[in-house]
Amino acid sequence: VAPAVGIDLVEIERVERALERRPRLADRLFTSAELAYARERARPGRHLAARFAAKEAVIKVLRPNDEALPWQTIEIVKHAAGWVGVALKGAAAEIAARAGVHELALSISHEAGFATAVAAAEVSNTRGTTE
Amino acid sequence: MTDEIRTIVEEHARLPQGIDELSDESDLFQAGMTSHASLSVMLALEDEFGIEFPDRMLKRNVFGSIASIRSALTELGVPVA
Repeated sequence: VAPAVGIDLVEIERVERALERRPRLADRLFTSAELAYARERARPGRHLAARFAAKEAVIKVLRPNDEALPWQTIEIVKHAAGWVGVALKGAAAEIAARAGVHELALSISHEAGFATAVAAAEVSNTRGTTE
Repeated sequence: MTDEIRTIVEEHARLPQGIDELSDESDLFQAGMTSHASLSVMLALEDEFGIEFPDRMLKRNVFGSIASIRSALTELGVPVA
């Protein structure tokens, strides 16, 4: 078993501008539950940017090679106590199972103009380095 | 089509070197394109060519070079001009 970690940093305004310009983009990047959560908040873009960073951090842990990995197959879930977790579906779940990714943990944060996320996991299958 | 792709990559991939230094087969990720920049490239391609990349094409290799982008666009029915 080896540890794996992924980190990502997102400029909140960039995400907001991209979503404003392309109405369909939100449904491609986020699940309906993620959108519903963010839209109840004062500045949805901040929460969506944090979720996008979290998905990218998870992708860095999953390290897909030449496999399609749609963003909606990585769902960021908020627990009642305030912590976030991740639910993998479809392609993301398959890649995780094949790579032996266990105990995927996540932390997100946002401040001023940026949102950031870190994902960590235990990986039981040896993998080649991807760069 | 290749000229339009090269222009979009130059504007959105945020590479340290000029697009003229890259061949159609050069690896854009090796050249410094980040995953966020590849998303910008994807969205700009969709705007330019009026297409939408389906889920099955949301993988690193599709956006890995000018040539791979060109074959993806051709597969999506964009005419080779």
